[in-house]
Amino acid sequence: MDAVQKTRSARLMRWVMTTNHKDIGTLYLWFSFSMFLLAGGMALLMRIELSMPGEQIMQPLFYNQLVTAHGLVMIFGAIMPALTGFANWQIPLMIGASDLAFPRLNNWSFWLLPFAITLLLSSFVVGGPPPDFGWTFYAPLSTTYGPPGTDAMILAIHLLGISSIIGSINIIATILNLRAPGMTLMNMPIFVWGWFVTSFLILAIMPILAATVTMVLTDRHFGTSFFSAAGGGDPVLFQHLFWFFGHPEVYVLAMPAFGIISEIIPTFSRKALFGANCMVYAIIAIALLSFIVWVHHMFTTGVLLVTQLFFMYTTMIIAVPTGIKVFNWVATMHRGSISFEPAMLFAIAFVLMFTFGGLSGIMLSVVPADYQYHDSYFVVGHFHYVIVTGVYYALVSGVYYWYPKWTGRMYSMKLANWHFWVTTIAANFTFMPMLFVGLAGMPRRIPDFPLEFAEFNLIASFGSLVFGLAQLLFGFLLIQGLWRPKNVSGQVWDGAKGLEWTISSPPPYHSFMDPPKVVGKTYQ
Amino acid sequence: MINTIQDNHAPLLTVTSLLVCISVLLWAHDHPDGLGLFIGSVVLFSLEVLHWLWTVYQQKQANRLSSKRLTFGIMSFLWVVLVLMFAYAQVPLFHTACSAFGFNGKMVKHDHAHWSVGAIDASRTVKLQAFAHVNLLAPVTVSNKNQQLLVNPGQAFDLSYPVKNTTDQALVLRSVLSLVPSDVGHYLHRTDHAAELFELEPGEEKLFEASFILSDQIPKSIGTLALQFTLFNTEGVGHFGSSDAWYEIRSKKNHGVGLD
Ligand SMILES: [Cu+2]
Repeated sequence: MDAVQKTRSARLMRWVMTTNHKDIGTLYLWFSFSMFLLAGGMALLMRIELSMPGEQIMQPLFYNQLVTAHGLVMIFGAIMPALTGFANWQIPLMIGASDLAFPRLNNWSFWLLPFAITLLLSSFVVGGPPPDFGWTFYAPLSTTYGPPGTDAMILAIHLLGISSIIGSINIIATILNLRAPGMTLMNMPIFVWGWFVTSFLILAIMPILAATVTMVLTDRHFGTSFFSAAGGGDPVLFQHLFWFFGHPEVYVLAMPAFGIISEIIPTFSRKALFGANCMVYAIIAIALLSFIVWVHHMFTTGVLLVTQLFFMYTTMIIAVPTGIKVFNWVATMHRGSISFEPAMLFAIAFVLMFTFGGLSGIMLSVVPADYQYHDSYFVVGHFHYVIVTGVYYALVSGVYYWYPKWTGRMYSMKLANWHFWVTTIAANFTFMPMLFVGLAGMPRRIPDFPLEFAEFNLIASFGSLVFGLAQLLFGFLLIQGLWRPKNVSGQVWDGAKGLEWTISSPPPYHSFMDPPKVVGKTYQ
Repeated sequence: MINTIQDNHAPLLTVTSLLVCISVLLWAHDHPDGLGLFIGSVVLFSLEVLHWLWTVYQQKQANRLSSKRLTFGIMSFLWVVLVLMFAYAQVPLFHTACSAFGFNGKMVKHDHAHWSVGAIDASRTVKLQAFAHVNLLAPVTVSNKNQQLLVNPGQAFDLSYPVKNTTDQALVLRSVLSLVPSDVGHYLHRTDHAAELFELEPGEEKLFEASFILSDQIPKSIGTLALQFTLFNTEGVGHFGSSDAWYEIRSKKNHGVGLD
């Protein structure tokens, strides 16, 4: 009895105190998946409300609270931690390091997360009402008119910011210091490059977000007027600060996703990645450009015409390096011997639908068109094509790709194929109608709409329910896979290249204790 | 390099940073001991940080931490502080840029000596639409809200709005001027030198006045310009958004009072 309890608490303490990159990666991934289901559940509630005109299941105020929580939890609780989970598992394995450079800080950056999200959502239970102004928390909605729960949200964002800053410092230090001999920077896998650049982005923008939420907090309670026009401040300043963070944040989500896709497409095309060096330059170019486009979120706030033109052109220019990446993925597949494993299916769908999402972004970047599209459901559709059929697809693709490496077991391919087809059809049924109703003039962030939008909204709601069910299937097949035989080889996929495939599946708890010697290029 | 878990400070750092957050919440929401709790939890957090740094120092002494990684850690911390300062520096920079270049629909601060008003250009007129807007939280009424006048370039013009305090308390209002097109601030000159703040006795009705000169340099492409004064209540500024204020606003909204 005593002994059983002892091992139980020891097992629990292992997860609380662990400094092992694989353990922490696993924690990150399961945590992010549970947050994905939570925030996805909120999305489904919203879609039920929007399935028909009129009030269905909730008060408008609650709808606004769900909009806010859905966005914040998805971005800070689901996508970013999922990407960090991939970084934890993969970066040491891919550069031949035994662990991250600061393993104890790594533990801290994970364990801040559950507390931060609890704090973020606490105002649904105590100290509410919760925030109701969308994840962008524009002043004065979050300052003068912000409900009491705003303060818990602000402090949660502080904790989340600390977590991702520490994570980035850790990743940069690991990449700079712990690469195996022969693993030069230009020889690094593109996934590692994606995260390397993302880490610098996080270090440049997270402190800006932290300062901005602090200004909101002091405006609310401690006598400042940064964003209050009544006190001599300016709410437009809030938007500049927020979007100076917010636009690069999109690339924080996208760059590691690009990296995952750049690993998977060569493997299942059985070809080297086309233009691997160009991929690196494109990532760096996108990162640099992402700092000079933020005003495209503010075209209608009364900025100068010349400012509008400048930010319109810079935004369009981002399509060039992004286009290079898409071209290289397609060129990698060209004349390859392609096989359609679930990871590859998701990767190909990523290339198609992320491009579609990106092109709708080009539409939004055109100033006169943006005057029509802005604040409409078109923006919601665009954003979800980029983040769901883009970043989420890359994450799922990455899970299908590395799951056998992480666990030593193969999931059910049959279920995974079902997951792909249902998800892809449902995603388009969900997000395509959003573009249509947006172009027809339906505003975003509203719990009700005129009758003429009824059909498309019903289709979107139906699509989202199917999409949600398919993700439950995903969770099920991942868990079911843990009971399947542990019989996967180290190589797993015959076309896979890179250091992680040279060791057993699953890798030993402490891998690469002696750094491997890398000879030649990783991809050739 | 196998990492031992004995010197893992993460759990205590997490708990103490969470304590700091909760104490800020209590303090912000006027808990009687809020400030004390805040100071206490900051002390606890700092002690834990010191404890952790002490472990780092010991590791360094025992050669279990390379100077490269330590330097990197310190450099990144300094970088984060730098970016935080950069964000705060944007506040004065933004306001300076607005008044220097007319960003954001603001008046440009002219050097008076260089402000040239030439002859009145009677050959063309600019349609001027002037609006007065009362912010939701300002308990005043304004008459003559929408005015339209035709002004020749180089001509002076005045705007005035009767403003009435609807409460039995003295009010201090702030007027904020916004312009469209947003770079037209280069071609307007305000001549009344009135302060941004406008005071009203209980129940008083007073004229809010502003005088301008429209520059004769105004480009021909600008045929219409819009100008709006928004009146804000400065009372309670700095304590906006407290939970009490929020409920007040909500109940006001619900009763339709204060809505423009
Ligand atoms: Cu953007």
